[in-house]
Amino acid sequence: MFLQLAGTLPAAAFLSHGCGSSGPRYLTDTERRVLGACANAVFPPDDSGPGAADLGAVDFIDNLLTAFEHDPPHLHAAGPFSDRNPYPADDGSASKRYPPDQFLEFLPLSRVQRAGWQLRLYGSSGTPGGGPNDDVLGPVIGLRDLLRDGIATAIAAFPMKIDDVDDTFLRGIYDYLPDEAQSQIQLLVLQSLFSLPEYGGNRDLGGWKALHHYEGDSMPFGYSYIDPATGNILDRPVAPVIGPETTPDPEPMDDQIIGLFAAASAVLGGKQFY
Amino acid sequence: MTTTVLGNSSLDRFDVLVIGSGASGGAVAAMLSRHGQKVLVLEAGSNYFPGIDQAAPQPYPQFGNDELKLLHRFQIQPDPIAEPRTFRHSISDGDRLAVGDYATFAKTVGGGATHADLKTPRFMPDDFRLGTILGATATAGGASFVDWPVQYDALEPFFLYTERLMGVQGAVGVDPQAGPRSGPYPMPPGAAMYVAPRVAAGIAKFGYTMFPCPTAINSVPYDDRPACNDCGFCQSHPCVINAKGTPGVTTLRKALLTGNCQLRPETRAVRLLVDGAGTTITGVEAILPDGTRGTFTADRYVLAANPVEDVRLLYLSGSGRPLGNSSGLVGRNLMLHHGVNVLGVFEDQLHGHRGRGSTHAFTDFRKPSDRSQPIGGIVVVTTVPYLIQQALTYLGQFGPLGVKGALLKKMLRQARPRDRLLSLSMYGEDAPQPTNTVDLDPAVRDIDGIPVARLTYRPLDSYEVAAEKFFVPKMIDIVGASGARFGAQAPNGDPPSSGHLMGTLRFGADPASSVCRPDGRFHDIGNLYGTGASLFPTSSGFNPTLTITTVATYVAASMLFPGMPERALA
Repeated sequence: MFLQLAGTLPAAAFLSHGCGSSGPRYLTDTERRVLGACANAVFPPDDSGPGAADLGAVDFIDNLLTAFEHDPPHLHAAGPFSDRNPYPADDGSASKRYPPDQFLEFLPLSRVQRAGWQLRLYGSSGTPGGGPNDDVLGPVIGLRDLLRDGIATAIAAFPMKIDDVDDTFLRGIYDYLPDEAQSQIQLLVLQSLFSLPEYGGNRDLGGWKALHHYEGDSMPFGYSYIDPATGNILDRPVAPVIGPETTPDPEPMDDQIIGLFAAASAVLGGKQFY
Repeated sequence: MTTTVLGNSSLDRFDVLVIGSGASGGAVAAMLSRHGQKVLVLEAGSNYFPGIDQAAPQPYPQFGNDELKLLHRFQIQPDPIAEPRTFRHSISDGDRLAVGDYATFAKTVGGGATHADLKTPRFMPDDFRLGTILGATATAGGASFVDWPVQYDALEPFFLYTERLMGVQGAVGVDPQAGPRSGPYPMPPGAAMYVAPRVAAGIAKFGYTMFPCPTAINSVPYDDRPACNDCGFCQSHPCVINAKGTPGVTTLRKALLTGNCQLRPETRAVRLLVDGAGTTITGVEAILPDGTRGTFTADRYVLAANPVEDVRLLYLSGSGRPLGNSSGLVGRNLMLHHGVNVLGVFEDQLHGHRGRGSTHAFTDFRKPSDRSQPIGGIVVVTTVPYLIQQALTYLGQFGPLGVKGALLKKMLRQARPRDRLLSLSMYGEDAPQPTNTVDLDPAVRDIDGIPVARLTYRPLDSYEVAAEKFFVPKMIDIVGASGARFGAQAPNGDPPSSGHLMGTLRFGADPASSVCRPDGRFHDIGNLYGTGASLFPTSSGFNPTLTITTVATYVAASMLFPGMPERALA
């Protein structure tokens, strides 16, 4: 079954995942390729849109792993606004004024925040003095080592040489990751898809668009406004708060999804009402 | 982020030192500094309110519509790898069951009230006299219900004062359980969530009454702050435009603007210094932003971190046992609110990512005097707006059913949480139990090598568990009556993940059965005060922030005018 899924395109054709951005890098090209394949195992490309790799998951993860190669570390985007939404005009409509993208800047960390993130990324072995609870709880394995070692383990366990398979086939390597590495990659991929694009993922807002145009950050425009004539709080029809959605449901739940909720509801002791 | 000294940096002698800058600390600082007291506030967390101490207009804070940094990268929450807590159900579990972020609470200028969605109902009059109401059953099963030493009537003017200070929107006469008021809310209710009328119709079928929940978010411009524009990032997110009445834009800011207050962020109080007799605090040892240590002094000291960190500090300051503990009750009666959630799955487009995530509530499950039903709590209607969090929840819930990869992607598209899910969340009374405690873990340390807090907590079958079993089926039926196709209870947190911490420094008149006096002062230590949620003898069934702020204001007023605190409101 596994071998039957092998594709025919050369691996080099898929090496571009996440390689478009500049900045410091921790992962090697091989690691980035494997990580991209794993990202697509979590959130694959299909008829509805691109997968996580093309949406920048690898860059997002590499940005996190190299956060401390920037000053301040690239961990907490500053804000409060991006340049994606305008300031509201006095009448509640969109003005022509946009803020700069303040999420492109990052906030300094406090001493305690910095210590925590250094331990998380570099582990006890990469932190002078180690972690505070190494003797009680065991040493902290840093995320950099966890992912690098996890990818190496998966490559070693994968039944084919990774250079011999295309990226679609390579997605199967996700199942060969050690549990902790797999869990972390899954978490980081989901974060990459749905976080602000300034962190490196959600490329071209593709993560938000994949879920039928989740609007993401809306400030400083927001959704409601106060009518200067009446003092009433009003909706903007294109994106209502108080009133019903004004556009048709882009993708209703089909029988498969309904069935999943029915099963979960039964497991949880819930009810189906119709 | 500002690490410099804020407010009046020239002050070098203080009447009062406040540890913590959240709902309690901000309120204490505001009241005392307004009356000319020189106040120093130490805050362990960072400051993300540039210009907090400068005249209006206040700049925007350094937050954002940014789920990643707020919910996953610990911008304001303690990072559990640097500042963990440990947890166990009882002492029979040994030293601990687990290490992590248990009952965690924001550590930042403004505290937990910075990112709470700030629903601010008052506690109801019966909440203050559950010892009397429950009578012989007040101690059933190991519970320790008692009356509060201060009743609703005495606190009512302080409630009103606090509502005006924070800027609370609400409507009078809509909550059937609400106590009497001496004045209106400062603002009318804001925009209702789309789903509110549908749920209102659903619960009306059972004879219940839904109403716009009082909330400290501007529905109109108020106090030099703008109206909320319903950006949707309200639950667990600070406000981006200062429309939410958090301490950083209300109490704390007002304190700093008096010129009588100084705030030191990133300054961790790690030990109270005490005189030889053990009855007077002589200073506070703190770790400064650069990691060095310093000592700060004042005439009087106020613990206003939170019910867990207050107790931790008392333990760190004693010699093997906490300061101020002649009653044996320091750290006992920890309460977390027994939060239970029922999810409704709808086939409509609820667009819950727009607007405040929770605008309406009902209190029909909160009738302590009605002995025909258990003591529940307020039920709030909540949407599910955040993508990362919900994707992880879907994986957790549906992963065992084979949901991953393409099917996960399809599920996130079709069952968009913002459109399909609605939660009814009940904050049920959490019975006080002396065996639910905070103390120090014997071995686990924080990043500075300081022992961390250990929580020992188990819910009580005869109260909160009984309430859960009684009310959850009703909540499921309500979501069905509101149009959901499915309704089911979401798994509970263990310990409860309500985000509400209460108790541990119970106040009362009797030194044998309480840690602090009715005015907040420790029975054992003449110049040390507890405040806010730590003092609560019982938890009520309501979101606690307004009552925390109100009690803190009452304590500060009592410090100013002993026995006549209402004079401070003039």
